[in-house]
Amino acid sequence: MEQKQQSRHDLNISGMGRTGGGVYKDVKIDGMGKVGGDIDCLTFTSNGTVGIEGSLHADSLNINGTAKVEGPTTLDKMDIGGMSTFKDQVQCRAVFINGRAIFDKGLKSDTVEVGGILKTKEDVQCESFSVKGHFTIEGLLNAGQVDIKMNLPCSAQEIGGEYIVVRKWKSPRIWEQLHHGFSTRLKAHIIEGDHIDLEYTEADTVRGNDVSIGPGCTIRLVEYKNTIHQDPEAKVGSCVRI
Amino acid sequence: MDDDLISKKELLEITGISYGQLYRWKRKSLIPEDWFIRKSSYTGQETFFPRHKILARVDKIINMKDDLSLDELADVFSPNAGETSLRSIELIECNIVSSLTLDLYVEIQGQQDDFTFDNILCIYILEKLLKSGELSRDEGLMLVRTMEEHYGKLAGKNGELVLIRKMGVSVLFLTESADQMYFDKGVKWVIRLPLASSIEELKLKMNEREEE
Repeated sequence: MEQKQQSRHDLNISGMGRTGGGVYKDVKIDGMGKVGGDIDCLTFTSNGTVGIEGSLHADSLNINGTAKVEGPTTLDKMDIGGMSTFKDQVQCRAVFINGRAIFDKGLKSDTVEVGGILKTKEDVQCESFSVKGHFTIEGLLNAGQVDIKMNLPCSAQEIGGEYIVVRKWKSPRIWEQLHHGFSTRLKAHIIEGDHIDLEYTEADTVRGNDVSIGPGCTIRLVEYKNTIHQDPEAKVGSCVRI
Repeated sequence: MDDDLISKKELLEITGISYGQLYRWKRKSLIPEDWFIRKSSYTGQETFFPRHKILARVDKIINMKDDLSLDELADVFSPNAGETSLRSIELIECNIVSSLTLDLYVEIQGQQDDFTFDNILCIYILEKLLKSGELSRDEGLMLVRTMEEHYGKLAGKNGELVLIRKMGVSVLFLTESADQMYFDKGVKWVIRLPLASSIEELKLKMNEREEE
């Protein structure tokens, strides 16, 4: 808090440079930059390669090249246009990923919008999760609204939330027809929610109040409370009302 | 141990809440992460909860969610200290603690104008234990000293307050968890109080005050 009162200065790196970290206003890196410690700034923009060895605290983060953050990250807004790797926990309000983002720990945010590739090794928690592309979550995806439009195979260990909708985004590709293993589908162990509407999903267990199982689904067990709709092309092992 | 666990399915059946609600509460940290216990069962992997804790918590959330927003509720359940500080008059007027206990505290710690949340928590616990008759006045003295000196180190964690006695000699201590503690036969557990529950009670009391 104290530091916020101090006057902040801008930091610009064009070409190659290294800084130890610190408190700044606007940080801009064009080229190659390295931050040797913790950095606290209002905006962080990188158009090249940047490595942060400490923690990152910023209002807005904009990455258009490659970036790697070793420490915990707290942001208000994150916009990834390139490739980013976060080695530690990330807390944010709005996440936009149009490139590729890898989270080695978990991700917490109000909204997560993915137009590219998202990979996390742990849980993702957010109010609204919308994907047009590809994601791999090795933990729990816990979100109020889950809106998935996939164009590559996606997977999550568990999905839980209020509204969960899974759709295929593009028409089948040519190599998908050649080899079944490439086919675009979502793989999850457990999917639990109030309203679940699935297509092209492979899951062990699906539990919910209102469940709709669309074409291309393979599900071992469906448990529903109010309504169920099952497409004739879906494969469901057993379906139980609870 | 197994008898004390409840499966997610059973929990939803008993309490009538939906999956969505449960996940939302988890997101808002109304239900602590470490209550979600994953175990394999004959239907694959299932999530279990500590039965008593979760049922009590769900019950509280359902009863209070009409009056408080989810964020306010999260604040009530978090082990972090509240930010409020109160004056001695307010403490007594709002029935948070009695003047008797407050006098005892002041006698030990000296007069203060403002009481921080940690101070109030200490007085609140003191009052609770004195009233229940589990704590003697001298032990109360120990409590206040121990709390004032060491509580800060436990702040934000789910600590416990423990009082044991052997042959009339009492020992009072704060610990992160008293689960794994074994004494010889002559030792009697007198008090084992999870601080988190007192923090919850106190925050609720203080919330009521704000509404009035």
